[in-house]
Amino acid sequence: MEAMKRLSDHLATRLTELARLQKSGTKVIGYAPGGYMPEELVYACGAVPVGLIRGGDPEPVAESAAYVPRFIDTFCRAQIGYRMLGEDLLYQMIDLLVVPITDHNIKTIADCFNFFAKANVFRFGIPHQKDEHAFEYYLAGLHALKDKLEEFTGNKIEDKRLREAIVTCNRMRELLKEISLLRLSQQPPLTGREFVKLNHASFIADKRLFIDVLESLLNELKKKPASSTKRPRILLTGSTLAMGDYKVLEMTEEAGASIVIEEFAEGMRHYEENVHLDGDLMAALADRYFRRRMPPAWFRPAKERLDYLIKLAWDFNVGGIIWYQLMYRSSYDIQAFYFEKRLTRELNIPMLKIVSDYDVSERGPLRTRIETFVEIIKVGGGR
Amino acid sequence: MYTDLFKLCGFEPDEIERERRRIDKAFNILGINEEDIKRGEKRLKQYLDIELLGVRRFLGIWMRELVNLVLAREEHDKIVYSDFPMELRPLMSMMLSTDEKKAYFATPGQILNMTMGQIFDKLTPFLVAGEENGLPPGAAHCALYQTRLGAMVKGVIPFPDLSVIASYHCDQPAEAEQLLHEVYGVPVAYLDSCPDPNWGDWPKFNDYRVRYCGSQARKLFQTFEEVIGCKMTDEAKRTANKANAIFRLKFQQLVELIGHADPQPISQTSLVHAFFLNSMPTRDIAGKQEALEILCGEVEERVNQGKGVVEKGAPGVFVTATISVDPGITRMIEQAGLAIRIQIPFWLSPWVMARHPYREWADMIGVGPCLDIPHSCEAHVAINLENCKAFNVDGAIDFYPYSCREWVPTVMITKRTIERELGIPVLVLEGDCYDTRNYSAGQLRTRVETFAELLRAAKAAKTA
Repeated sequence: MEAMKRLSDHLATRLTELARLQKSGTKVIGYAPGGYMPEELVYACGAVPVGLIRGGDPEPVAESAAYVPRFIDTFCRAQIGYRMLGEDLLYQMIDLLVVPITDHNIKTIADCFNFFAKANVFRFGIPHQKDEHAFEYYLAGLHALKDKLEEFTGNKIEDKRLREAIVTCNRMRELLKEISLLRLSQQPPLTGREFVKLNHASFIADKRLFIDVLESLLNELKKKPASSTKRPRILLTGSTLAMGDYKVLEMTEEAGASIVIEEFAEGMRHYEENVHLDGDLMAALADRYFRRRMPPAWFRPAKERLDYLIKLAWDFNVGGIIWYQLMYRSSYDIQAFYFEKRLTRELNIPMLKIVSDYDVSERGPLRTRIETFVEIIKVGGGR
Repeated sequence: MYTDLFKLCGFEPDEIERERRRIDKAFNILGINEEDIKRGEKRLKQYLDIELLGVRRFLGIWMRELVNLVLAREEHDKIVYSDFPMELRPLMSMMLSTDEKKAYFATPGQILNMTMGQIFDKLTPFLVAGEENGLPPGAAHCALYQTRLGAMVKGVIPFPDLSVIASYHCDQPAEAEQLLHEVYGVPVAYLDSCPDPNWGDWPKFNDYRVRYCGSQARKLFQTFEEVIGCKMTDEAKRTANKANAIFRLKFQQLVELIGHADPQPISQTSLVHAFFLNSMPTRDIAGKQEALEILCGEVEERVNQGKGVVEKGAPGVFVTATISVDPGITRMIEQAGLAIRIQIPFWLSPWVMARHPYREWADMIGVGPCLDIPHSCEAHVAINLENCKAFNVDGAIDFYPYSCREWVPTVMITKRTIERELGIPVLVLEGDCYDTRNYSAGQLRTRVETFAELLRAAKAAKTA
């Protein structure tokens, strides 16, 4: 696909471009990619946002052991490792790291960047439920972030620029959504792996170029002839799906199944909802990023998220669910237990729970488990 | 068969007789047999300063609560549970708003830890049941919540009518209670907050953080009133506040007395029972106050007599463990010749007692998490450092519970900060305060003994 080639070329030179921008005075704002950080605010103050979403490599996880004991979520330890190893330019070049505090795993990234890397870090809190007080709390956090960004960049966030940034980000989300929904078709025109890589690129790429790529890609995909093979359809969900952590996607597809929809707390951009442009824009951001953002497993009550997963499984007509979580992410470990019961009761489709610590030794047993799971669905274990 | 055991726990013979029917019934449900009782007696004598009446009185409070907990469903209409790290004031005020016969309040995990764990060393069946029912092994789940879930699932303790839990300090209590709600239909009320201060903020905090937590406290009280069918009273709030403050202050005095005495007058294991009553809503307020008064008097007497459990002049250490289940670890540190001056979070530094502008009850609850360790990682480390300074220790042992997601990130930062700021060594030990299966005193002994040697040599060099 021509559009994907353009994107790939862009990503290959993106860090150099960011370095050039930084040299000319533009601030690069990194953030923890849990879906609570409105990039719009960063654009509106003339800075460039980048999600720190790398994962899947064992080395940074090993490196992190010098700074934090291992009993923290693997992705979070990996972020510390990437920074401290000093090998990934993106992790070195950020001028400010913004960390929306969702739980203690994510908070650990902020603490270690502060203490060990002496980095500039800004935090704001995410309540664990959605009443009006929680909304106000999140909104107060966004205002604090706005103040911080203005002070840090020296640029005031004007409504006009914020509105433009929202329009841009809305357009990106619309296109991602449209492309994703093409997978409702029985013969999806793109694989799960392709969509995930596209989604990941949205955290790093220049937004205008990315939107251009998405528009071209959408046209290409609409014209693409449908494949004749029918494969078992799978929903992939869990805590974090990081850039570079493609083993489950690869193995599932190699086993003959298709990932047709994903739902993750971190690493995947949430594209279902857009920011409304009427009324106070800060409140509109809070409405989109907090109130209407599908809650992760550490939210209460769990019902909203469980209902959503069941609906996704139904709408995308999946034959099974792969629950992919990282080591020591207790909220997902616990929720997997009662979600599986509900899934069996309501849809009677199988679920495979996978826990990863980004260790290479996981690969062999993992392949066997995924292949077996796909076989079970093929022979009628699923709907 | 258990008369001697209960005497060791401060029971008078007539109370044992009066309670025999209830004790028999509870022990039968708990599966406590003669062998367990013998083991319990042995452990009490081996690890605690059992000759002190204050210690025995505290043990008695926990044993009474164990029996009350097991029989709660048949003796009360409504049951309310909580557990660490929920603060005591809201719990006590809810409890005191209810009729004693009608509602039973408890922190079941702590009760089981202090009795079935510390005394009988018989927690494993509960832990295993918890692991099999949604909090699996090998994933560093909090053993406190595995224990209470396991005990409920096994039918040893009843499921509550309401669970009241805090999510401002650690992640797992709320996550585990969500499971209790989803799988067993237990209503849960949460006290939510976000540990989001920026590095450098401590000890400052945002007003909106306090207001948010306060709003959640109001919601929690409302849920309590709806589910339990009882109005919270101002009288209950006042009594809770007062009782809590009196106990806390006296406990502080005791901790300081022990921490500054040379030789160390009693084992730190003997303080654990009093400490955990800072978060356990027993109705025996007078009993726990009296026990503390007695213990303070007894410790003072020991200090005046120069009696101690560790040699005079021994190197003093700050230890971060508050181990409720296995007293052997704390005792092992003392037996290695180290005087434990202070354990976190026994001692509250002056800023925790500081005045704040909040006067509305719910906001006063909301400000709690902002004044202490739950403030942030920076606060946790700063409080560790302050403990070391205040008690002028020669070294620190950071025994961290591996399954505590709040604690784990502070370990290396604490070690580097104390070593850099105070120039004293810090030994990091990995362990578990609530589960003895993977971490034992024997396993840790060699490292502690080596550390003790090092501290003795350093102290001798300093003196010379």
